[in-house]
Amino acid sequence: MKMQNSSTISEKCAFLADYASWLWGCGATCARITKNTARIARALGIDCELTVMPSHVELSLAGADGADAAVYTRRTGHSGISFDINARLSRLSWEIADGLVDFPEAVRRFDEIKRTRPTGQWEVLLLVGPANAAFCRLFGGDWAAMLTVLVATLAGYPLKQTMIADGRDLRLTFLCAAFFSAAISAGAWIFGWGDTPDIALATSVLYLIPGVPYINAVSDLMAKHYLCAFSRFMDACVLTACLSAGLCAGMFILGLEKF
Amino acid sequence: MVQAEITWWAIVAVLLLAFIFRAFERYYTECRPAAGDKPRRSLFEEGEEGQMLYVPGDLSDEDAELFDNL
Amino acid sequence: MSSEIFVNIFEDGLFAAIAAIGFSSISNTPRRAYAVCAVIAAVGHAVRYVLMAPDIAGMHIVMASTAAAMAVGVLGVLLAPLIKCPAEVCLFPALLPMIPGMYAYRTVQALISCMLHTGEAAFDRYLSLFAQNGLTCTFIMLGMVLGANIPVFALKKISFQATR
Repeated sequence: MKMQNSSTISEKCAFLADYASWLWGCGATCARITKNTARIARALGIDCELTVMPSHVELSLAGADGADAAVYTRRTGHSGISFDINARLSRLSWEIADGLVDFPEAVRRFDEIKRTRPTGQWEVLLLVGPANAAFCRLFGGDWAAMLTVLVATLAGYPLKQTMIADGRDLRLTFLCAAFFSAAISAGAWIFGWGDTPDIALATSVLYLIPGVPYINAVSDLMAKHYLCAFSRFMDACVLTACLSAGLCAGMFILGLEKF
Repeated sequence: MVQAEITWWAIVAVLLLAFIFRAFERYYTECRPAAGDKPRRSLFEEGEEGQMLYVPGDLSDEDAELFDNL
Repeated sequence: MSSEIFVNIFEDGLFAAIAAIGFSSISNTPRRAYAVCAVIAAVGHAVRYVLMAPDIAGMHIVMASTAAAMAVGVLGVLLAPLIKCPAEVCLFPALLPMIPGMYAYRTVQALISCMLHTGEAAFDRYLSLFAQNGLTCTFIMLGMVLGANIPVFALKKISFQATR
């Protein structure tokens, strides 16, 4: 009986640790990770503590009711930000807390959520091009600048997708994508397209800015998860530095000094 | 300005050639079954720190995975 | 004159909505949230535009961004339960058009320029640009996320149970 209780508790703790790791990997804030995990732990009758670290999550089981004390560690996945998975995992936590699903069904649904497909590459490409062009407009660009930015984004974003799919380092990916996007949009300066070529150049790389990591970093700061806040902030800063370097390299090679 | 124009066209050409090269590479490795049996090797590969600096007793990434799930 | 302002506000909101949809697709936002993110982003950006317009309020970008983010936060919390998503799924993509991306990379550019220019006058100028852009970016980010999260915590009962 003791072993059966222990193995069941062990399975539940492993599930919790996996759940927390997936939530971190999909870009949830630390507050959400700890809240959701605590909610599920309460529903499953497990007394545990969750430690959220920049690259790992650790679930510490207190060791009562015949179960041994244990620590379950999971490496956080870097599968990319997914608000879809975030929403599904949050809904799963409420379904477990409200008793709508039992543990085996929760595990089955969790496995299904893990297989959630990301937004289609073509769909993202078709949406991000006009988005960056709209961004150019918000900064005061004219229609020629918007068209330039649209083309530059449609050239740089597939490069980013390809390099990420090939498993290239994300920093190198950002640098290359920013270089080519900036270089193509610099055509507005070189060939005299439109009246706002400087805005075209400045906004051509904005699709690469890691906005969600910055927002998450400040959210974690407010929730007093300073370690994770700093980690996310540094990740975002490094990526911003890489895209700036790509932008500067593009401008330097083309002989433009528009700072 | 002429130099800038030439450089711009060169950059655009490099990007287009990269996409065309990538398309051919995908066609030959994924669409042709015989070619797909061979392990895919890229022209450029990134080395890992472990390959340059090896100390006896180092764990590879696969071995390190075994210690993750406690 | 007033109709021109309304046209500008509408245009600002419209392009912010398009930008929000595109940038939220990069973050794998569920499709049902696109419309909500677009509406919230449009309202938020339009509020910021109005607050920053010299003819109307003439606020500083940090204060205006904070206020706009609060509007985004309130709308996000109220609309998130309709699409069964956590509040941040609606909020964060809606905040993306207001992220000070240009200030962020201009900070890095100014830092690189500091290293490239050794003359004191040029160095001082780029150092000043670095500090100015860096501080503006930091405070806009802080203000935006603080502003967006205040309604989330104030309306806890709604926001924390949006996916229930």
